[in-house]
Amino acid sequence: MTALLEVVDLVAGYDGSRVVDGVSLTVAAGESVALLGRNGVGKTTLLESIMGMVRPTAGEVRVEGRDVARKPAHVASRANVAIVPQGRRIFAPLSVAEHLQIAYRKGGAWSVADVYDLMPRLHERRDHLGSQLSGGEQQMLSIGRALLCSPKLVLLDEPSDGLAPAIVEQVRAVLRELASTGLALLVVEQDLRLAFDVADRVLVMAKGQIVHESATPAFRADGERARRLLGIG
Amino acid sequence: MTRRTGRLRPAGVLLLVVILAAVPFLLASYPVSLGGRILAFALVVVSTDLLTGVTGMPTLAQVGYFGVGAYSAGLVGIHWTDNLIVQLAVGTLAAGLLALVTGVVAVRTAGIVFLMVTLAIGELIHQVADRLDFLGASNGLVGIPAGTLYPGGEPLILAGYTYWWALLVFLLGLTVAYVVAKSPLGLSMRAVRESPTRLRAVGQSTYVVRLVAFIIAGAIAGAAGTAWTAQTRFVSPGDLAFSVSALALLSVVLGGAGTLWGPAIGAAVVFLTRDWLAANYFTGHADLLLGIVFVLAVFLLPRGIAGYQLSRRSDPPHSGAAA
Repeated sequence: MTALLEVVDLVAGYDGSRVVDGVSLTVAAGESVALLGRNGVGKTTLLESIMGMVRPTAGEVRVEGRDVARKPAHVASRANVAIVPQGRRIFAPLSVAEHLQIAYRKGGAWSVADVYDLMPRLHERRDHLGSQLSGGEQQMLSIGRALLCSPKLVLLDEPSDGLAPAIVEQVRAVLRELASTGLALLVVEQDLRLAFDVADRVLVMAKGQIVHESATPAFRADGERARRLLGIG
Repeated sequence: MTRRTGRLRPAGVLLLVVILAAVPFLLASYPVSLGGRILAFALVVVSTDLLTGVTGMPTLAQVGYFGVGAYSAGLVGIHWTDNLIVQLAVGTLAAGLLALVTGVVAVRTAGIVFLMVTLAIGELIHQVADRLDFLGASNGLVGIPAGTLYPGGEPLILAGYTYWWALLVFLLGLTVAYVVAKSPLGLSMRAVRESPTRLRAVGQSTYVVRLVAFIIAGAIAGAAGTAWTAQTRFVSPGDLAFSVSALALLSVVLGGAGTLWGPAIGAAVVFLTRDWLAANYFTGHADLLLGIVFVLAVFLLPRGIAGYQLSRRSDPPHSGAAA
């Protein structure tokens, strides 16, 4: 498969620290990749560096061959990368409809109606402000907002974080449907069931580096290795 | 559902416009001319709120652009034409152009740095007005003829006529500010106030959004300046002083940042306190009175006059389904 995203020797951090320490990875068009690891190993910083929300100090980020490293986030967005950030980060004083309007691009693959079809709850709540939504609704809105940027690759940072199990099931269904449409996903997730359900391939991070890579079935088959890498049990 | 700008009821707006338009029939000449100046100042405050409250860019430059509009209108009146519509167009355009030139640099900054840059812009314009002879230097620009509405028309000398012109410019400027705030650009302006990073992540250049907002606000302040000149027929560097910029910002806080109509009311309260209450009943204590008004506002109306009004009207927040 053709590499949609190529990250080469990426270094990023805050105030001189190296939270991401020489990461290289690829995501192919239409591929779903889970990025796993313990807390604080640099997963969020890696996603935000790819998106341009954190400025890398070294390395390359290429989207379809176009270099977006050290450029503002709107450059990555226009290169067809979207992010569903940790904690949803919706705009509290904007309504659901306004969130979608602000992200909508004419001629893009997704329309507001498509988003409402995928997540009908958003249509029911379209006139409510971001601050008036439940956590699950905010997560749906964050995903809908990302889709309206007409991405080929969506970066999802802990989409199940803080959600009730029933809502996680809805998020899982949405992500599976998106993966089936040929959208590439790079998912940081602590809920392994959700991650395994969505991803074709698993990457594991430790101390700012990718320390393991395998296909999802192979990773699941070796429970002892998974527990050791992820620090479970 | 709570909306920051609230919903204006058409009947209420119409009633308010009728009352404002009737002022020249109800009051004597001096209060009417004071009312006209309040309308011009209120429009500067609306432009300040468009940046400060709507876009999240607290600014001290708007009075400078107001001055550009006022001086431009005066120069056009002296050297070219007494037509108020031409003066309005030139003053608005000049202020918008200067906002573009200065904004290219200013909007690259944010927070306290942006505030200081806009303070510098305002002071620079003030100093230019105070030094250049063709602008009258410290004596101010004098000899501005009374304006007309069409070629060969009667000059607008009576306070009531210049008041109505100021009211017209105020309503036009306020309408533009409302249309912008409710437009897709206005959505982006509110979003950039909340989080520039998040707005960039959906593909929008925050630099462009902030620059366009800066230019529009500058142009509206310039229009206010032309309305000022039409009434006073004299512009002084003192009209552009830092203290006036501070009063504009105070009016935004007092009226309720981000609502546009609230700061316009805040401007009236500030102006009446300084130029009517202090002038007639507490001579020489205008600053003290304004200080008291501000302290009372902070304690009694932390979200401003409009914020108080909106909180009375708003529904309780929705708790939503279990997350």
